Amino acid sequence: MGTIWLAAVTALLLGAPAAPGDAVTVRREGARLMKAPRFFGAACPGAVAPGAVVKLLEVRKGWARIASPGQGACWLHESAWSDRTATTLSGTGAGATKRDVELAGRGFTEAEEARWRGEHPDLRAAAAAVDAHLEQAPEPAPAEVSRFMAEGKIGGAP
Amino acid sequence: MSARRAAVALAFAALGSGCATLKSLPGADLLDPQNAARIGQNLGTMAVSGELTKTASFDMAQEHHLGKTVAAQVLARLGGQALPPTHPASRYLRDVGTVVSLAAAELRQPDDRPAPLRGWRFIPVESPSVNAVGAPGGFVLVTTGLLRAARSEDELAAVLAHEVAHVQRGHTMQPVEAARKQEQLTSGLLAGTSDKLNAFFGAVVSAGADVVLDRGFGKRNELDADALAVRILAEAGYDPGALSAFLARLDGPAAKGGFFSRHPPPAERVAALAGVTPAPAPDLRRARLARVVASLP
Repeated sequence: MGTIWLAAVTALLLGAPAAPGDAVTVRREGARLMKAPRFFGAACPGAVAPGAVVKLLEVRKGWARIASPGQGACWLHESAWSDRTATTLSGTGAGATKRDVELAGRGFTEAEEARWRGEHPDLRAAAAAVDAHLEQAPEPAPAEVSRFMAEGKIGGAP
Repeated sequence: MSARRAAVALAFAALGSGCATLKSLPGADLLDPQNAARIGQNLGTMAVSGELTKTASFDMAQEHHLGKTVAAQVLARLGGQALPPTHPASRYLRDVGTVVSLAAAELRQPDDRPAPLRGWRFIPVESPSVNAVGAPGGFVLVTTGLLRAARSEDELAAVLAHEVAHVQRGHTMQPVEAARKQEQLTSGLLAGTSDKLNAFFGAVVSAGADVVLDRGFGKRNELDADALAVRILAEAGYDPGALSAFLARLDGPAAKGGFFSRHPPPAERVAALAGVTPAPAPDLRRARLARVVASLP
């Protein structure tokens, strides 16, 4: 019973699994376009940026083959487009004022983050350091990962 | 049961459930006849609208914004000095962390959190404590003390795998979503009573930092993260026994504070990983870590 409930909630939050013919919008920054349905190994040239809409031709265990003219088969993992549905909890009490509703419905937005930063000037340096890593230290490209694994003889790396 | 009695009963049930916001309220305020009547009305309204039974869920953009602020607060509490992204230790940590996170992605379960919106970030922090912290949004902070304590790249990968497992399994967001639901109940039930609402974001950021730094995610989730970490190591091609090796070596006096303070005792964790035998780490991966450690300030 618990498993069924969990599966139902998961499906509700994550949406139905993608199927061939679906068009999905890429959300994740640095999504990897691979030549086989696996994160390790050879990558397709080019990239898919957040906001790109891609059509799924074949779906296999979390991976989808996508149309990629001139590049043969390229595979994109569902983590590139999957997301959770944010629930809106408004806390609509009978006597709720506009401010009550605003506070209760508050989500974690860029504006909210900025407000928090403004109220914590003592954390400005720490926030800047996190920003620096966010902007200047993106995940390495597939070729760099392969090179790092090969140099360290990690697993079956060539 | 009258609305007032129902409201008071619910309020006290919430008090007993550990809701920090409700706990901070003086009981006398809740028992005030006008407030209690208002809470009763609010309860009815929320029940009819469905707000009472809604679950709290954040999408990955919201998790990202929260995670950035939690990471900043954790960094400040660890001393505030992150190594710059161009430092060799930052690059190395990023490379090991990426291998680990890709292996974790290969092992994703349907109920796992989706991938971090802007990808994983592995941030080295100058601190002598042996500590690593996974925050919402895929931010993983690792102290230079931990880099020095690891004997090989495989042991470092084991710690990163444990933290990545927490984030991917959703352990870092569970307390946030629970707090969000409690906040919604509080604000909804107390609407119109008097000015009792707190700014939610700031409270959750503080609570989030407390959980990832001090309180941990509970024994069950910690052992779950250990078990997944072993599978991640195997998937990546690192030694699956590296986590046991790291924990066993740092058991005893060394296992005080930091990474160990919010986890079950190392001996218990090693016992739970019985059957996973450490293998000698390849020399070149020991040397690779040693070169990075030599570059630390």
